[in-house]
Amino acid sequence: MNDYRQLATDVVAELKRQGADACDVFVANTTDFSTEVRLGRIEKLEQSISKGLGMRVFKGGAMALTYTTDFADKSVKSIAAQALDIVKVSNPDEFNGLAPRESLGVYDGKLMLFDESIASIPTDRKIDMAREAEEIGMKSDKRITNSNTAGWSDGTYQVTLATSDGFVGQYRTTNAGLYVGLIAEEGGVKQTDSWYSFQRYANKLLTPKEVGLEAARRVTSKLGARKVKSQTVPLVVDPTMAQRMIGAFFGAASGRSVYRKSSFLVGKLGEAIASPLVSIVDDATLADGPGCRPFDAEGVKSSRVPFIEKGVLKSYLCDSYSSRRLKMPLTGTTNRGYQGGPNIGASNLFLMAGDRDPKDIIKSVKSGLYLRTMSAQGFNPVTGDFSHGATGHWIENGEFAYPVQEITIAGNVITAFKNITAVGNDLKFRAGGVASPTLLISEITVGGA
Amino acid sequence: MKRRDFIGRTSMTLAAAAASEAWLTSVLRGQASAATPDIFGTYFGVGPEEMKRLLEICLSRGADFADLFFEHRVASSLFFEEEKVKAASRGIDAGVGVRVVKGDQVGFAFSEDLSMESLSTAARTASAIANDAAAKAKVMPIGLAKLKNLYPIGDLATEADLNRKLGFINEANKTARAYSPKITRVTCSFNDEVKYLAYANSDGVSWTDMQPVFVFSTSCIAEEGTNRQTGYESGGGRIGLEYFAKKRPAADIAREAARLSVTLLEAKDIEAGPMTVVLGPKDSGVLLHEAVGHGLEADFNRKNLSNYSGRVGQRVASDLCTVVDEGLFENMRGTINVDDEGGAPTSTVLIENGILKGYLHDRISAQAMKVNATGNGRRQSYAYSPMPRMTNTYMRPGKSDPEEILKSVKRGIYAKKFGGGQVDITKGDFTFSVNESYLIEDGKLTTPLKGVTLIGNGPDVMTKVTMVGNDLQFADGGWTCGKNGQSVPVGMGIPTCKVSEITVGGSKVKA
Repeated sequence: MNDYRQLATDVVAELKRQGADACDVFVANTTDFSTEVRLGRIEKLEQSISKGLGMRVFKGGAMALTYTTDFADKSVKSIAAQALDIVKVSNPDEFNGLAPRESLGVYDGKLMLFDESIASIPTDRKIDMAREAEEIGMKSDKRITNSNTAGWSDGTYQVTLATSDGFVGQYRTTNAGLYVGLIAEEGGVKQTDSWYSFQRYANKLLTPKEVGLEAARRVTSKLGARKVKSQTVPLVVDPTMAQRMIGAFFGAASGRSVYRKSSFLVGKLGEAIASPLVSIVDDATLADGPGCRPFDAEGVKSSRVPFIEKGVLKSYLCDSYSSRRLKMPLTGTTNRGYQGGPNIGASNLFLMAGDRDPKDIIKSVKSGLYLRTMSAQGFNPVTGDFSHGATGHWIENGEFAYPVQEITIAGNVITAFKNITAVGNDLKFRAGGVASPTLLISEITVGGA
Repeated sequence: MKRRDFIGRTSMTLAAAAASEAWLTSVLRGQASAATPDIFGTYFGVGPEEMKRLLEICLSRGADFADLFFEHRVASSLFFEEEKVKAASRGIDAGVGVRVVKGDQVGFAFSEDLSMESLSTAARTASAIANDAAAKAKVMPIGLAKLKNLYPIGDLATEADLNRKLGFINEANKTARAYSPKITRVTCSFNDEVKYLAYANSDGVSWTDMQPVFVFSTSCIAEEGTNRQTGYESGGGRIGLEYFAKKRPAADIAREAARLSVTLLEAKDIEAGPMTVVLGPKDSGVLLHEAVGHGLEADFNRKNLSNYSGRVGQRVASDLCTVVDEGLFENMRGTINVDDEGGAPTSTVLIENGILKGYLHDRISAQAMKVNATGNGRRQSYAYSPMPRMTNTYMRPGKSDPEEILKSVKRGIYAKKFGGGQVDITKGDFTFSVNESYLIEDGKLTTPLKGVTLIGNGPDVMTKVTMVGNDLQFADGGWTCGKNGQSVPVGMGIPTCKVSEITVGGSKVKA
């Protein structure tokens, strides 16, 4: 294995030698395997080893970034020289710089980062798990007529960071995932849906049977979907969609969005921006959370950041630049790829579980919408206004009456989150580090026929 | 989740040997050379002998086709806000993708290490998809094809002095700030790249290409009291810095971003529900991309996954609609000299006078469906295998005067600028988000509206196109299409169109 700690510290030294005032070097290297099967046949096998090295240079208060995938000494030195060349067109900014020394460090508590067992899973077994998920899903209901691919993927990801303040850190993680997409048909109308499980540890994955049956349940439950009339009704939010909504709060709380005034949370610090039932945390130290990490992309030691508590916005999420600029605490909540600098990125981001059984939440709704999917676009981060295409189930007298499609939901996220009247007890990380339990929003505008 | 298709704006991502020969010929028919012929030697240090050896390893386990995709990408960016260049960035990604095909099964590996040892390992890894001792496919002698160059460049952005790019940024910044005292923040980005590509496959087809593309964008925030709105505009294409003098000055892009942010300060909510929608020219091409294009990508159709599967020859749109995908427009963002597996780009009629004519193919789907490839096999980079993708998708102009179209609407929405869209291929249900729209009252544009989502079903909405304007225009800027985790640059165009009814995702309910 290449010694990327040494490489990163060598490049830091080289940048200093070439005249950098301060700098950091970030190396990401990955291994990936994936396979896709469809109708029992292997369609694709992919395998790769990949790497990239990025450097961030400060000189005279200005900043530049360069990167390369070629680690030959000559290439790295050339890209280092280019960093010191292009930094000349950059302008000084008094808030630029590395994270303060006292914030740096490697969290030393237990974190479940690397599952050694994944490397020993034979390729045939991986293919079989994808096949099994697909087959069980397809056989579970005769209305399921086609497969939209089942797959297995796994990989390793190693991060190495060195800074001119002497920080050197490295960690590596594993990932594994299983998914299946199915097509169901009734009355000449086709529906598609999928289910998946992505985790750091293979033993935390749902079984192929669980993935297949859940995909089947989801796709068949969409059959017979219709439009509804435009109206204002209570909204029960499926955890998979609730998790997207809390992602919107995370992005808006970014210190960079705040100083740019491109966030609906500008000027809301200390204010109630959600119902008292809502507490949102980003916790990089959650030992078995799929997003845990010992330090962030600036080398800041990991900690638990409860940024919304009982509905009140407690802090913005600040990298060192926005922390200096807004004069607010550094939160150590950044991610990074080799091509760019540190950016706000979630570790384990979740809305804390409530005490309500999700079934009881649905039962409490006389007439309303259960939100299953919504379109990606349609959110304005500056105002918090949203308008999304949606699908789900119509609830009548506490029960799913029929599936709905070709509708929209629209409103403002602060208003919607203030109107949360119940939080489920079903918090679970399904795919990566963002999770939420089921939510009940007392009213939302549904657009339809 | 993996299968969601979307489009967004950057900064806010064979039927046997006969058909294979057909595309080889059309590649070879080109005139001017697209790139310096020594890309193989200069960037990758490999020659025909090494490629032949690697391709032989690929076929050694009985596969019937293999290709090598060499890429050296240089990218550069400048980010400007608060009157300062906040960051300058530059980098190099380089690697080789090795693909081995047996029927419709694909083995794929890539390497960033260009040594023969690493490339041989990648070739062996990819070859594992096949296990057929009886097969005897051979690597044909490799001959370098000359491509017709559809992106002539005067002044390559990625190699230009940064101070010249800064000049365009300063011009945009000044223009946007001067537009209105309500403009409180201006951000400009210059993102450019050039890909040096070299390709060889086991049919003996080989080419090199230089693919440049840039996006210049301006984003503004306008404020009035507590009301805060953003406007965004971008421009660019597979063209050099001559774009600003020849096609569109930086100031024009800035003014457009400023105008949008100030306009939105007056925006009002609209009620939810079905309405008549007039789609403005240019960016409304998003409709074609989502409602038509994705559903016609042949990988979905050969697997019978699309709502358009098996519907060639059937009516899927009103007879006013003729929709084409064409990678041949000079300097356009979605244009390609060659697709990423050696296919010549074509003009493919997807829908003609409302009737479905055909699909967008890559090599595998064309072979599986026994038709000619359409030159739509594209990939994001060396790290991915190709699949059918759009290039520049547009609707042919109709006969109506755009003014007449507006005048025909008593009450409706005029949609002008879009944030993006997405589609459920199987159901055909699409959504797209509108950033700039106006209420139409008695044939005239009145109140600007807050961002709304329009939703509908592909063939259903396309059948409700009741008027098509004579004003076809192509969108400018950084449209990027995402599919199965891969992003590629695309172009789009449309004339003014009237759709008799689309569901509008407003935040009010009609009293």
